[in-house]
Amino acid sequence: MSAERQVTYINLVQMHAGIIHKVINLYVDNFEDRKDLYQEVLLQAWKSFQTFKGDSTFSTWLYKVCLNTVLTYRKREVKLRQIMTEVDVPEYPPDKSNAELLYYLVRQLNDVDRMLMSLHLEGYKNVEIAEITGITQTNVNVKIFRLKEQIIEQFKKEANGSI
Amino acid sequence: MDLFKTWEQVNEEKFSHSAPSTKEIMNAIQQDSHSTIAELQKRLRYKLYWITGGGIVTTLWMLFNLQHKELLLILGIFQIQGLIFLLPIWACYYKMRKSISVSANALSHMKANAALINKALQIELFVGLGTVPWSVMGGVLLSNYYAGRTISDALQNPTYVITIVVVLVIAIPLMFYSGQKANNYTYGKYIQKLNENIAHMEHS
Repeated sequence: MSAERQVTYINLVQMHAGIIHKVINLYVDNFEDRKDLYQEVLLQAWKSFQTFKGDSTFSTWLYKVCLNTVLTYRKREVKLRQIMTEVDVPEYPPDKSNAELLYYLVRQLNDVDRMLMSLHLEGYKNVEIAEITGITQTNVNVKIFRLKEQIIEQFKKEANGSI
Repeated sequence: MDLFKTWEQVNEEKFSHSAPSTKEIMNAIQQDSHSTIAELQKRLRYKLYWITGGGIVTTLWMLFNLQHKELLLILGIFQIQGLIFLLPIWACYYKMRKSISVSANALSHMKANAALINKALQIELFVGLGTVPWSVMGGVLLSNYYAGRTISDALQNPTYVITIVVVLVIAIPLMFYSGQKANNYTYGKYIQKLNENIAHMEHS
């Protein structure tokens, strides 16, 4: 790829780096894995950047690349001692703010539901989510409806002090 | 409560990081991939090198030993075996290079990954299993040949035939079992998770 294309890529990635951090933090606990995945996403995005024709926005495209890389990444087998020191497992939020609780609840979802919910909360329409994930739109509608109900229910329980 | 506004707050609190420097990006794009597909591709590439290199060396050796007819027969069988293994390995390697698109939708990408990983592991096992019988037979026959006995002499000697059969009966299942065990140890949980996610995405 040309130097010009390289500069364009670097600028776009620097502008949208938050997406990479977000997807990785939502899926990976281990510090080493996060570091490796960050580099892997940058590499995979660069490799397929030549096929990026601008049909979708760069942020949507990067989101897709991040999700694909993260969902097919083989995590390290973390030894017990490392778990004690390195793994940032989300604990139940101590300050119980809404943001902490939402983050905790989204992280508690399984991989697929977490992907759907995070895309929905990012403001993607269901038709776009269907396109990014490959799940049929009917399924996306159903799943997101259920997930939102589930999360709202958890918030209600929290308000009643039963979570 | 507005979930979207709360999520904006999550974004600010949890995901705001400084942008990577140009140097960091350049370093990342110049390194080798650590994806599972890239790992398996590397393993297949080394197998291709070994088989091709072995084939070239054996061919050269055969060309300089045309007078040893029986030996040529054994080595000829090895060469055919190498060729038989070369094709599926190459096909899988090529497919891995071409058919994985990280910007496809997540379901297609995961399915393509799962299919290629299973294929690559199957091919590795097939190559391993295919190599054992020929290596055992070739080893016994070659040692006989260098001990001054012909191949037909060796094949008429029940001790050698029984040795070959016993080794094969033990070696092939053992090889199959240990191969499966090793693959399961390395990739078992990963493949299971991948398949679970695919199933979850396909069903409501």
